[in-house]
Amino acid sequence: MYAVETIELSRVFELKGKSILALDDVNIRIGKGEILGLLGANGAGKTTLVKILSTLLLPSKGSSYIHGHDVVKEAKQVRRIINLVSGGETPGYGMLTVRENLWFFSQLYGLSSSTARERIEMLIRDMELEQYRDVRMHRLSTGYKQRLNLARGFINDPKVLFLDEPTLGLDVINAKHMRKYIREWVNADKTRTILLTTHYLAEAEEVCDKIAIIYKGRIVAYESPSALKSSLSNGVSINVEIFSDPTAIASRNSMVEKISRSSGVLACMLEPSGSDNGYHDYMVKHEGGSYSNGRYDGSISSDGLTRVRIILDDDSKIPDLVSTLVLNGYKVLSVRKDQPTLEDVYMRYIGMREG
Amino acid sequence: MDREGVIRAVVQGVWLGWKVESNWTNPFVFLTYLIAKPIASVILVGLVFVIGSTASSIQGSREDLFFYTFTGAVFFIYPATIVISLAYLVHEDRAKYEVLKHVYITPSSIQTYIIGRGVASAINASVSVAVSLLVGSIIFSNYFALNLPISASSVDYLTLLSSIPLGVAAFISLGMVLYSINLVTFKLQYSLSEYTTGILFLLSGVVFPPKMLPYPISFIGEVLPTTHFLNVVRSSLLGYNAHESMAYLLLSTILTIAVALIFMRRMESIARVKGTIDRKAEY
Repeated sequence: MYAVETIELSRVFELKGKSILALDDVNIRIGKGEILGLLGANGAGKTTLVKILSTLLLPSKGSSYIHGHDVVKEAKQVRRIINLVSGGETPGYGMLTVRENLWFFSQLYGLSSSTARERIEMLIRDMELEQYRDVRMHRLSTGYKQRLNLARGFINDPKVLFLDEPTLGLDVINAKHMRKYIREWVNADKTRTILLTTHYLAEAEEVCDKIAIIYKGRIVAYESPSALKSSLSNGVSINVEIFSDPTAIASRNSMVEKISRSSGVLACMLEPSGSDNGYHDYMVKHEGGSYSNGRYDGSISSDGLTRVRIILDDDSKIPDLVSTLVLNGYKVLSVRKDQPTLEDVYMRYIGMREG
Repeated sequence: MDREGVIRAVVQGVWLGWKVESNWTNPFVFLTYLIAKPIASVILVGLVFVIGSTASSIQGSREDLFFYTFTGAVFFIYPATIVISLAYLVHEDRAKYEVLKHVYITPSSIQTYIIGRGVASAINASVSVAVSLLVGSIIFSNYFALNLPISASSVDYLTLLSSIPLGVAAFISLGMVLYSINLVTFKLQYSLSEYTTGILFLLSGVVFPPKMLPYPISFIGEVLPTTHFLNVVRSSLLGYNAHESMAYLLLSTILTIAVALIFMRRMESIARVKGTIDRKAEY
């Protein structure tokens, strides 16, 4: 029996006479003791899946099970063993203290007074909320509110915990603390399971045993992080350093487009130099030969160099690519072959499916 | 800013004011509210006047009429408080505190949670009723020479105290119905409770007996648990036999509970289909 199983799960939303397919025949199986990372862009269907599995939403088609209990027909049994934490949301009543909020939810989960007291103290300690125990929730900082949110999620010691972008809006330290706790929580009891939705690739790689990439409601890849990376074994990732004006965003966008249209290029990611708030521009080639571009967040370089990460279908195409860049007037400073990263995998799968 | 700019700003102010005042709802829905509310108020005032002017032939004496309207208004605090608080509950928990979904996914049924919240409102209402009864009777007795024909020794305390939990159960069920409607909608949280308490006030014998209303409106008044609750309260305060009213109260309460539970189950299912349990208000 799987901790979480979905079979051809689909969900259609009707919006002003239009049908929007949010989930399309999703099949996932998460074993006990596993952390599955569900990766996808905004609107890909991550939250819809979590809502269905946490009994908040009914599917349009298909079935889903938590520890063998049908999520639709046996919602009560499912609710006994699950909990849900959503990032960036209010974790309770603002005028109640940290302890009172946790107590309120512990009672809704039917915990005895002694168990509730013990667990609340443990969670307050684990989440490093000791000094805020009797502080009203509305006085907490975003990071500590999210710690309280996470503590609420663990209050019933769920068998399956849904974490919907739990580190959204958190600083590096709080996010790191949260990821560490999540990993340790599952390791401590191998009957526990987590479904973590995120669009932070590094987070998924650090915490998850398996990763599912969801795109436009469909699971397009479902493997361990290492298996996903090796799925790019036919391709090659290269890092190219090009000297350019760091403020000339339009010129860099044009560079991305030129690279993407070169022979053998599957995807191209541009790491900017600080002028555009840490967002990467990218362009991917689709199966039909079309292109699409977009942005996602990443690290910032401020040394005047533009670093481009390119996924090629074959390393024999590297000389042609460099020639194209030089012919277009770019100063190529270095070309370095690299191990595929999860970002490459993500870009590749999104690109393949969108066409 | 030039004249055109000022006009543009004023127009935008009017437009936004209309949107906010109408609670962002459909203009047609808001127009019905704009029309229905004053009409209901005017009718209510008119009815109170008609009944007041013919009170002696209906109630027997000025004191009897005072007792009827005073106890009606005081004990109507129970349904008004409970129904309004439960109708607002969805809005508060879903949009303001954002905890509804977390409450909903606990193994405790949402009905149990609502009952708890309803009981809290009932306790608050009890304090209000007790204070209003005491202070109101003192003020009317001392300043208007209107005495309540209640004798502490003749009050049927057992019936009175039994009627309150029974009435509270019925009002929580009514509140559950409004809660359910608000669970699948977003813009009715204020108007729905206003409408409902207004209708209950008009039809439940708060200031005049429902039988004075034209049929079939009077029939609706006769089946409402609020009507029977007030009848039992009045009878028990006067020490009259309230068995018949109590039986009607029991019956109407059971009926209201059954309807509320069925209705709520259906609305919950619709909410899960529509995905409205955790959807933020569309403001």
